Amino acid sequence: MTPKWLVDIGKVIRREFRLIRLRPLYFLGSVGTMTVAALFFLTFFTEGLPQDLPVGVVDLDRTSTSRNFRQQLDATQRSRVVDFESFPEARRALERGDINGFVVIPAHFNADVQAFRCPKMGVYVNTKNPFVGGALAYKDLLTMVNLTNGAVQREALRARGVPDDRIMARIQPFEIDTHTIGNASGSYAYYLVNMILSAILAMSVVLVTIYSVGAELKYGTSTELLETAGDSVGTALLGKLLPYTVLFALLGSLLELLLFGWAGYPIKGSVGWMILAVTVMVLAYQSVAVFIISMVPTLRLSISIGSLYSVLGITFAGFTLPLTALPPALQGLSVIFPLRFYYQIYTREVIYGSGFAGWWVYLVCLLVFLILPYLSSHRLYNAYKYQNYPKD
Amino acid sequence: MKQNRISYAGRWFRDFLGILANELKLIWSDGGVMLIFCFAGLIYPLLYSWMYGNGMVDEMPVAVVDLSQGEYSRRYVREVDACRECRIAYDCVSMAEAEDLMARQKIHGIICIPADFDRNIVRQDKAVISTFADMSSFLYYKSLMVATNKVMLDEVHKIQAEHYAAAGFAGIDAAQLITPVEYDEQLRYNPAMSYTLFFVPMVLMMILQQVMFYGSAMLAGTLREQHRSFARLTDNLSGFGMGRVVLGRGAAYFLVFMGLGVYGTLLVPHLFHLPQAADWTAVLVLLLFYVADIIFFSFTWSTVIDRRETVFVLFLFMSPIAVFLTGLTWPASNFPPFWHWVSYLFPSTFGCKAFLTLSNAGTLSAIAPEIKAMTLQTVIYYLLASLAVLFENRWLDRKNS
Repeated sequence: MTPKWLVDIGKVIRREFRLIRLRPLYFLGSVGTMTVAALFFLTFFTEGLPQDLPVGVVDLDRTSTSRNFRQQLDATQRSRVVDFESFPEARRALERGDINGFVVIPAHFNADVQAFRCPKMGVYVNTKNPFVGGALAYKDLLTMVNLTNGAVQREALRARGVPDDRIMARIQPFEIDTHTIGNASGSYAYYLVNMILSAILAMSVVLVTIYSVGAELKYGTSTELLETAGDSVGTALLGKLLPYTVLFALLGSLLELLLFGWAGYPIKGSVGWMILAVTVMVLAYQSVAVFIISMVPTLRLSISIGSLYSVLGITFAGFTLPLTALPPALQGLSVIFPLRFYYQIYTREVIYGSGFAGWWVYLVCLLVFLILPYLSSHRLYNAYKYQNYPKD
Repeated sequence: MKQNRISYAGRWFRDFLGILANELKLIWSDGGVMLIFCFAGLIYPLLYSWMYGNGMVDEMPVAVVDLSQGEYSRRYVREVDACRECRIAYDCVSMAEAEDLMARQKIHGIICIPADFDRNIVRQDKAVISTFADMSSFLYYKSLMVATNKVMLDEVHKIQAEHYAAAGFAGIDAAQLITPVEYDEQLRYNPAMSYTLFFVPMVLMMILQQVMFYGSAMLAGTLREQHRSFARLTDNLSGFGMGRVVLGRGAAYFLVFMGLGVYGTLLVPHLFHLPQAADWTAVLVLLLFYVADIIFFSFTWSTVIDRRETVFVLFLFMSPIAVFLTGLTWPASNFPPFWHWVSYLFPSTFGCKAFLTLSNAGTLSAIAPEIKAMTLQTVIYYLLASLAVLFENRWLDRKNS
């Protein structure tokens, strides 16, 4: 003999499936959203790091030396040279963000180099517009100037009789070999896509959950729902949300498999743990959503609150701007966003492969969110039963 | 009979004002829309300016594994510690220890100096320092790169000077050898390469567009839900009121959003000391074009919204996508062609770039291409929004008959 509450949950689940079939919104808001977002982010950053960024050269010297410099800069993987006749032209292009930086090769450059009069090259970088482009162009331009320096030094040292095998160590006594842990190619996509898609999944969980719970109030069907659930708001919520839990956990798992399996994103730990993490994150966000709609049982208000909340989560997770760079007064706020804890697990599992022992604390933090519905469900029960809140 | 004495223009204007007042009343009396306009329109600009106010990672904790323990290695470590970007938080005896600290996120970078470092420098053989960056955030990588490379260039010149002095070159001779070509670096507009200066202006413009879209779509959805779509208004005007309806509603939002726009692009940047090379009148001119553009953009796309809350469930995820399509985080020159075309659908693609360019260049002539693009967009979206009203009206008529 199955207990009554289990039978009731079954009834609520069947009722919810009917609603999902009736209103395409639930399907579009979850599967549709994630499909479009995944298509966008997986096809947008195709090359890893941006290549062939436009940089300007203002060649006032017009000798073989300056032309050689221009060609070498053009040949680097990162940069593509755009020629300018004069400084003002290049400056305007820089201000508009059409080029990321430019070099001015002064007149008499070649003659000055030959005579050791130390000519000065102007290196102008737009570090504001755009960010990635500016920083990369800066690195490329400086490398080229330093290489030019090295070439001149080499000739000078040769002329002074320094043997060739000693020259390189003279020009550059030591160098730096940079390793990027967990992202060997320094790819922007590897760094960004997983977290931004998880953030969009979180957004979708919050909105669909608030909508499905709140729609009962808005369309006045909540008393009927309570009847089906045997007058228990717990049973009603469990039955209503279980189909979405399964749907979103599936979407999250598919996302992890898509990125780390099919798309070949690097992962040091195991995809299995990430699937666990994303599933618990889905549960945490469902709990937050139930909390919001219970505290503000008016669909239009709580859906606006849910939107404002989930957009802020992207910042507070700390993957765009590290949390320590935020104003100290705001840093503590990050604990109200499950995405923050998911990011902690992601860093430890995907980049360092530290396993369960390395991040179980954050999993517990995610599980703490599951208490929220218990704290607020009595409000939802009253709202469901008496429908004493404005409907729109 | 009195009706006939009013000219066409007079009647047009009277209807226009009526629709404008009606729309303002609708906005004002709707709690959800007011929440979006007030919170997202007024609080978000402050919040984002505050959150991204610093926009860079300073004094990032780094571990050093100095196996050389010589004069040069210690000087290098000391100089890195002195940089704004990094702070030597741990002195580790082995790489394993440092790697463990990094996995636990106590540090975000490792500097490893091999045992033969000092010996190689003295012998004038090539020496290498290895650095390991935490890639969980690009800013960690940037901080470590900037600090270690800056100090490297500096140290290299010092060591060269010592070497040349030992070989008998000193003074001007040595200086000429060390830097035969000097360079004068101008990190225009943002010497510390802070996140703030490009991200916050972009967000401020983006907020305007998104708030406009979500707010007006919410209202349009509400009206359709209550079977009193604004498309119906044309009936009262004997079917000829398309222009009045679209322009009248547009004018209502124009009033609200010029206010929010002045707040978001002039007042807030002023409060947070964001650099602005342009005159406030130039910003105002940009706003006129941008606000007109986002209004008809929103009118056109809100046609697909038939319930008040659905706009968030269906379109909230477009906000981050629109941010990437501005080309300010990922350079537009590297967009796949398809997404380039998609980016032209959004006013923000031109508006954000124009606002940033304006704050760099300071003259309206610098943003002429964006202004042209926004004007074209406005015209197209106005026509589409009008057609949408026409077709919705026809459709409602057919449904009713």
